[in-house]
Amino acid sequence: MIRYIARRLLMIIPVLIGVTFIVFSLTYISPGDPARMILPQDATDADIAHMRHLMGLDESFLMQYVHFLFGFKSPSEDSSFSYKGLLALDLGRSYVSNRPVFKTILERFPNTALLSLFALVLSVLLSIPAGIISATHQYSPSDMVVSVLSLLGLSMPAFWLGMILIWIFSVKLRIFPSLANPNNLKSLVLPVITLATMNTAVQARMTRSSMLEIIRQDYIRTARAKGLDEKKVIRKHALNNALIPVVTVIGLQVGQLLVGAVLTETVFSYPGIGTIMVDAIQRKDTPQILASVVFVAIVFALVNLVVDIVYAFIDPRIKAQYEGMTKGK
Amino acid sequence: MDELLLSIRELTTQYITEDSVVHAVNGISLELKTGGSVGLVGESGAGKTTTAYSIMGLLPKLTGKITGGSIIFQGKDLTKIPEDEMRKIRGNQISMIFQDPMTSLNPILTVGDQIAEVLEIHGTATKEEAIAKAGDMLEMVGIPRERMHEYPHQFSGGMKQRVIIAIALACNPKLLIADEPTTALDVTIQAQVLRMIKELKAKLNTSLILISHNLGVVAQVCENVAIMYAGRIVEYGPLRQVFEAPMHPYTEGLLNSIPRIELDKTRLSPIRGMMPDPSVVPPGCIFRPRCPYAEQECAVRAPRITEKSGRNVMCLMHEGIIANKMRVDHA
Amino acid sequence: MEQQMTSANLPVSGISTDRKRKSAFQEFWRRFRKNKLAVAGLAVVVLYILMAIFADLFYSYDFITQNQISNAFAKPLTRAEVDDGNTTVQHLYILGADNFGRDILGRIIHGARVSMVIGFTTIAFACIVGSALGAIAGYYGGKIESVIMRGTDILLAIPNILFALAIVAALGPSFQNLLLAIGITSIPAFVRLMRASVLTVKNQEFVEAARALGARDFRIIVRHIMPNCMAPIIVQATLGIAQSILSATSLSFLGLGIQPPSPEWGNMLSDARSYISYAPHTLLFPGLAIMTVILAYNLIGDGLRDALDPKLKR
Repeated sequence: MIRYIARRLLMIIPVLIGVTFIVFSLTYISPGDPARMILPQDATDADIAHMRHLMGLDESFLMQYVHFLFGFKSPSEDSSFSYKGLLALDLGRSYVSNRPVFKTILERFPNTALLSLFALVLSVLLSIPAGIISATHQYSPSDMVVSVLSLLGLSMPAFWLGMILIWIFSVKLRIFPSLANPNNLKSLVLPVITLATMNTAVQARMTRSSMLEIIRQDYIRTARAKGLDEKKVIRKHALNNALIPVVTVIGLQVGQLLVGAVLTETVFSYPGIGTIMVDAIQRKDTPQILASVVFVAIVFALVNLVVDIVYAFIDPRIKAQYEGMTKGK
Repeated sequence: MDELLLSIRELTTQYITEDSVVHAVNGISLELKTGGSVGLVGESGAGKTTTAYSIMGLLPKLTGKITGGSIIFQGKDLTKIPEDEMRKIRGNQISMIFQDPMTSLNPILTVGDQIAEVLEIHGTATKEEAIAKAGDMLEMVGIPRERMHEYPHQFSGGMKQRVIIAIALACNPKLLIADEPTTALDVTIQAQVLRMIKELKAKLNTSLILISHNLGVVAQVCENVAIMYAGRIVEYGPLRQVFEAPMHPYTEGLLNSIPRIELDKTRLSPIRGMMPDPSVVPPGCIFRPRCPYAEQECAVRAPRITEKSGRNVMCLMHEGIIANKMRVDHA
Repeated sequence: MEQQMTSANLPVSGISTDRKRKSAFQEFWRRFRKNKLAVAGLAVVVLYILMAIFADLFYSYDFITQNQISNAFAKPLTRAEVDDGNTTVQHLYILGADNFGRDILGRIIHGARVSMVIGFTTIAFACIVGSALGAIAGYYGGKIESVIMRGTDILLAIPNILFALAIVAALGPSFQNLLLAIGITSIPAFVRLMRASVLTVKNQEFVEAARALGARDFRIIVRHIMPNCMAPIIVQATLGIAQSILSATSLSFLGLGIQPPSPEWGNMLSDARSYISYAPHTLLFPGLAIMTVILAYNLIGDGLRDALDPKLKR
């Protein structure tokens, strides 16, 4: 098992290199010249060239990527042009605030994590039972309700849902505030619902279809032929098998949560990583945008790593596959 | 020893879907004594498996329905008793072995757990006893008991089928239904599994319904054979007699289409045509379109079951309505 | 589209006659039509497409992009005077007016054009590129396959809208960059699907037969393998259009997509955000437009999956 985890950890490295490479390439091809942005409007070409040198922008593409990963020591006296690189979680400073970009990200990330975690828990608690009921009572009224609601949830843009909730619960009913912050649990209710809706819908549909497929399996028939009552057939034989793909989806959904968080945080002006990104975008603060994207992608990759490991614990076939592989070698 | 264990009377089972009604089993009758064995033989779609599911009460809930007849097992009509009571019989007094061992075991439970489960359900043992008994059962089917902690994917197809047999026999059932138990296995393994079923059946005095499309498989294990065609039993009798002197043209066709070394025939004669669509029931004899002896009368008059020298057959030739043109005479 | 669906259902054996083609399509259509919700979805999508094509017949582009400040936040069904350049005329605001007094229904109708174009072009692009890469990976295997699939893994490692957001942020917000960003992020799903389908079809006998007859690789892939993989691709394309429209409206909402005054549902909502309490109708209708069209595509996608899935054939 330990070796499986180690192997899976190794597999994540090329993915992370690829992600950072793509994000770095995007910065590189980005039309704006950071040196020009820093200098005053009337700077001469020579000033700009000098600034490019101080910022390490006159080096080759690959060299700059190496700096991006492992850091850059500026020849300038001003230490703000130097950074320690992505590996040290230091990608320089924001063009706007002149603060280290990762400092802002690390300050705000716990807020996003809190919001996403609440949304994840809510969506799992709602979607899995709903999916199971829907599948085990196929074509019944409760199946219809679950199917229709999950289709609606799937089709509703999160940012619109959030604004509608504000209109109903903040403007009309005055139950919940329209601005959210992590220190006020009541203010989190609307953003959590907004963020959880899409995930709940996707997971409920997934649970339903996975469950429908599993209850047609031969081994479910075997379980019934043993004289097991239907509830136990579902709980003991169908559920665990059906949840295996659902766990993967939940892992992938974490990515959707982080994306949804960008929109949800914007709607509720919640101080998370999403609002950092949107502010940065509006102010064309490229280092801040790209650092945020890389950061979220890394979090996403790590979450999926955890999901894969959980997967191996619930499905003996995966464990065995791996054991078979090492035995063979 | 000779008492009647199972008596099926005029069983009719249908699959009802939105756009059609499939007449899967059309009024079959069958009797089985304690310790007896019968083979159900026919092409796929003949209604063999549906018959088995009807007995087990495992028809698909939304579509499958027993629309007529009765299944009397130890004096109880299984078509009438509530699901709770049926559940106590299922896996305990009547067990079933399924066609595809590869998919019939739960992939995420150990085989030991899966055998022990059936013992626990029927309250025959405590958890510890059940696990010990599961080991015994594994040994009985020729698998070392240490392997009870392994998962299905660690077993070969033949071994999985042994595990399924162990599950089926764990509660020492009165009746075992084996639905194509060897079809999915390699030929060499087939013989082993069949021999094991036969031996365990004798040892435990279990009655057996063996379902197969292969006459050869049935011949190795069963005393009696019922030939099914389009949801009907067209011929029934002691295995040896049916094989040596088939009375129904379909049985004759089936026998002619299997290769036999001792008969030095160079060409096999397959049965021409296909089974009729089970959602459309034509008048007259259902086998008529494929029957080499059919006459005009067969298109309008449905044959009934005729009893002749202790055997049953469903053909107008044996009702004396049309001339018997088959090679063997049974008069 | 219909032609494609037909071939998806055909066992490609080389002897596909017209009659067979027709009956396979009829069989598919019969099953699709049974799903009332999917048919309703199709009707809604057709309606939106017609709206997109004939948008100018309802409202002129100039009119719906021109400010009529005096009519700002007019309620639905308000009749008011508008300035059409030279004279003032009476105009009925069916769904009301936005913060600049522009007609909301008109902007929704013209927004449909933008959304449909985005949906179709991005998915057509992703479908062609993704399917080609997937087919190559599945058919040839080996090094090519690992390069393509690792690339796909990397693209999938970045949540899709986030990646699109990064692309647009780096390249600057414009219509082309939006198309590019959404197109690229839609590719991986097609690569994976196509590769999986090709792997299952590749070793079937009719492909072996074509190979034995000396057909070239390209011909085998295009003539024999691709048509057999169409069913899942068509379903993915339908759901992909929904996803693509949703991504585009999200990016526009964040100010990274279509820029005002061009009408787009996402940027309409972005404007409406400031006036939730004051003029909820500016919020309600564009959102409903997005929701109904996404819902319609999802319904069609579900219907197609059920109708094309051979496992459900009876």
